[in-house]
Amino acid sequence: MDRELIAEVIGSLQQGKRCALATIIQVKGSAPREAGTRMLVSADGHIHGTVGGGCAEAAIRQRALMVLDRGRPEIYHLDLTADTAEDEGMVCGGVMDVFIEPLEVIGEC
Amino acid sequence: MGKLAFFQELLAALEEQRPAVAATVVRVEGEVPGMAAGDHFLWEPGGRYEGPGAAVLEEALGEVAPGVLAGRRPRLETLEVKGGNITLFLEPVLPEPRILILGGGHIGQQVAAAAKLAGYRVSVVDDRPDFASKALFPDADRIICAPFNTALQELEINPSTFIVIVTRGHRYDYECLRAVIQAPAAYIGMIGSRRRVQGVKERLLAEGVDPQVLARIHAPIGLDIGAETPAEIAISILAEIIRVYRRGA
Repeated sequence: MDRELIAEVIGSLQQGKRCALATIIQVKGSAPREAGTRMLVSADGHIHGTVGGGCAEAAIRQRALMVLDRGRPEIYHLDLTADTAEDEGMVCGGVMDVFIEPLEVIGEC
Repeated sequence: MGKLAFFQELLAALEEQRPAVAATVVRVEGEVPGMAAGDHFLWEPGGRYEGPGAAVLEEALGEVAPGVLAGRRPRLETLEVKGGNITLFLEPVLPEPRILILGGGHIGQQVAAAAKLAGYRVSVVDDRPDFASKALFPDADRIICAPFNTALQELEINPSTFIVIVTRGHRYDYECLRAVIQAPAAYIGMIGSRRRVQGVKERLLAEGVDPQVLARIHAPIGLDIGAETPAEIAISILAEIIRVYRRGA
């Protein structure tokens, strides 16, 4: 587990920075990173950590910004086997589930 | 548990090397009181839980968490609880590997660099202030300048410790090996030619050390890839450590 990223999450929560945390929770086939990998996405689009880079990471980042707007966590299903994925150069060919949760300071948290 | 409290406890567990399981609720089906997607819980062996949903989780986690720790891999688990189903993402929190480098010479320096590259924690011991220095080990987590025996009496060695013995001479290598040979380390490797290594082993055997204990020692150290330069030797040592860490052999 990435201590630096966890420390970053704590820092963001303490400073009340709006951000979303993306965690890979399931991987099938071949994917760039394994379950448990995390990435922190700030409201301004900055990222900490990496979920493998490339198009998949860009898609997760985009989705995280949406989750931040909606304020509700979700499981984002990313299919790297689809034709579009191949067109865009996502060559790993696996399927990835990513849990994305907003880390906003609402009351207690 | 609030998100901030959870991540703080998680970080504390990681830093204090306490085994635990981090649980994230990723899906809730039905009506489960006190339970929502995005809730986090830290399970620790023998721990107590508070707050809404705690009783439900305590029972559920108590059954699956030990298996997650033993399996060393994260996994998704859907549990049937009162009112519906919850899906948890369960991650083992395991002590991180620490590489203890005995000897701050050319090879020790390269081992430290390679170990940091691979993401391991690094501690270095040397009795010479010129070698146990921040200038030579800019990325090391801990640098200890003390006689090897003194340092080794104080350092904690546990099943996450990987010991690399690369001092400046085989007299010190021998001293270090003798000091750590009974320790519960994950790995003990010692540098030296076959002949020298054999000499050290015979000496320890004569002193009554169990041959089975001696057989655990990785000496000559590193995978046999024909490494010659300090950097190459460091890479062969790290390759051996990675194999022990990931495969247990």
